[in-house]
Amino acid sequence: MTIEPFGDQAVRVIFGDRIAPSVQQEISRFIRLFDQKSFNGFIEYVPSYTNIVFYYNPLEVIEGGRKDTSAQSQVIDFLTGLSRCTFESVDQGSPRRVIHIPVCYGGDFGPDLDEVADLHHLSASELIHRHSAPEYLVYMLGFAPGFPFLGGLPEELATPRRATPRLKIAAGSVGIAGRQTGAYPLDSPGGWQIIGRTPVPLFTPETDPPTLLQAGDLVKFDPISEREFERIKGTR
Amino acid sequence: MALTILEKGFAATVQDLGRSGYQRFGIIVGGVMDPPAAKLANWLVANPETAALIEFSFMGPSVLFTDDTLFAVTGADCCPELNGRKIHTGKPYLARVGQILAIRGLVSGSRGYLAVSGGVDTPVWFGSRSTYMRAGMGGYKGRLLVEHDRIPVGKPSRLAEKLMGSITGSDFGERWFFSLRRIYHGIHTIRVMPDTLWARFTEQSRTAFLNEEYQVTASSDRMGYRLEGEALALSEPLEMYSEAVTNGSIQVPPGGQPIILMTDHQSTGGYPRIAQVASVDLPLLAQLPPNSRIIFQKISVEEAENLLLRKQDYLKVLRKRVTQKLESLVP
Repeated sequence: MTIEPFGDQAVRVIFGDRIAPSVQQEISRFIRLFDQKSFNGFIEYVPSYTNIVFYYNPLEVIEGGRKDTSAQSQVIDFLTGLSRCTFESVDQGSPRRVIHIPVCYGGDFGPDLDEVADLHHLSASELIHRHSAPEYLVYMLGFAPGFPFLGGLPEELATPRRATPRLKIAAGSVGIAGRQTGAYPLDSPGGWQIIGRTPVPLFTPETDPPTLLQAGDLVKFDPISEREFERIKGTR
Repeated sequence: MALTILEKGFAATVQDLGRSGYQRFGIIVGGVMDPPAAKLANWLVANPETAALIEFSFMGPSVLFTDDTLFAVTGADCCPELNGRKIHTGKPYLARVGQILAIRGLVSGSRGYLAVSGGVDTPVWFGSRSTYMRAGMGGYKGRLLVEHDRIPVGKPSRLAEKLMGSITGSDFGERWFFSLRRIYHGIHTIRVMPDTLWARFTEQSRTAFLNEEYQVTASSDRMGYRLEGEALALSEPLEMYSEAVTNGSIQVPPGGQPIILMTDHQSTGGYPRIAQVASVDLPLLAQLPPNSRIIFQKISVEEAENLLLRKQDYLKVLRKRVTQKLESLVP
């Protein structure tokens, strides 16, 4: 683990240099430990694939801490100290949650399904089968409220983005972009290849936490029919 | 209490000091682009500095007051008029019911603030009233203000009520106003700290970055400032993963022209960063209009923190002077 300065109001704690479930696990563990301690002037943290950024207010760090040394070095000292007890005093945490997300593949909900299947010389149903088989790991949320960055897309399904991005992709759309797969929580423009749609909201502002998925969760896409899609949509 | 938008101006939105604490869910911080100017506006109408207000850019809105309202305009230099009479920025005025404030074009600087006593009282969303345009949430219906919008206003503080009861006209005496004493034209020095990827850029890029002028282009907004100048390049390609970014992160996309992330930036980004703007210089940057020229100057984190401490002390003194002035006006 290394800690790097990130401007004058943040530091970055780095746990690895590649995308891997073990790195994500260390990040989760460090966050669980931090949640019990925190420090004066702390604002928030944002985990990503290989690191966590801790944001702080330097004026509050100095006010609540030492005046003779920089706020940043006090934050770095605190996090370094925390890292020393990471492995002894934090339990392994609960096992990863598996969140099932129903997806209606193809048709109007997945306008790019056939094209993506053709590109990979697969039938549409084989593509659906391969996309819905793995358990994907949520590494981070970002880009838009509740948008998950998922790892674990089978390599043979990797597909370049669309040459021309769409102006509007409907909320719930499930897509592939390069080696990533994910789902759009809100209507937005985007260049992902859209292969299906889920009736389940990923961004749930009325609940705490406000997102269906959290970093560290596993996601399983369950294929459903259009009728099932409408039924689930109707119950919400 | 409320006010009605008569002319929308340009990019007018409801903002406050932002929505921190939710970036890990993908919810951006947002908030005012120039916090000192916004705080000054709130101080002048005896609001808490966290109160929501209206931020506008380039062209200020015209508003109709549907109740007696204490208000102040700060930020960029402009020539507002209350019912056709010129008024000062940096000073509170009492608008009477039915009066119209016309702010119009900005003379220099690029963001202005209109604060009203009691604050803009739109619903709080995740701890803030700031407009989150991309998600269509927060602020007034999650969007830019337009004609006929009726903006709810909260209850004025006791001091504001006393001020409103203490005068017969609109003006609290001639010859005084408060200002942040900034100049928005000319060449601006923006202080930066090198990012940890600094050394991955070519020597020529690093030299150019700290010595050549960069210009703020017209495609700059609340999300980011796109600059134009000598293109920057990495010594060798770098595989970057999306990771958390922050205000003032200077990203370099493949084209080589840097982008400075501003307050409405996404919580994560995947471009290499050459440097990070010192927080103390972000409000000034927020005021620079397109075509402004920038020179970057390298400083240490310790220097950046000291500048912030000095700035905080200056703002504390200013706040005290504003409060003393307001208290001196009530009998």
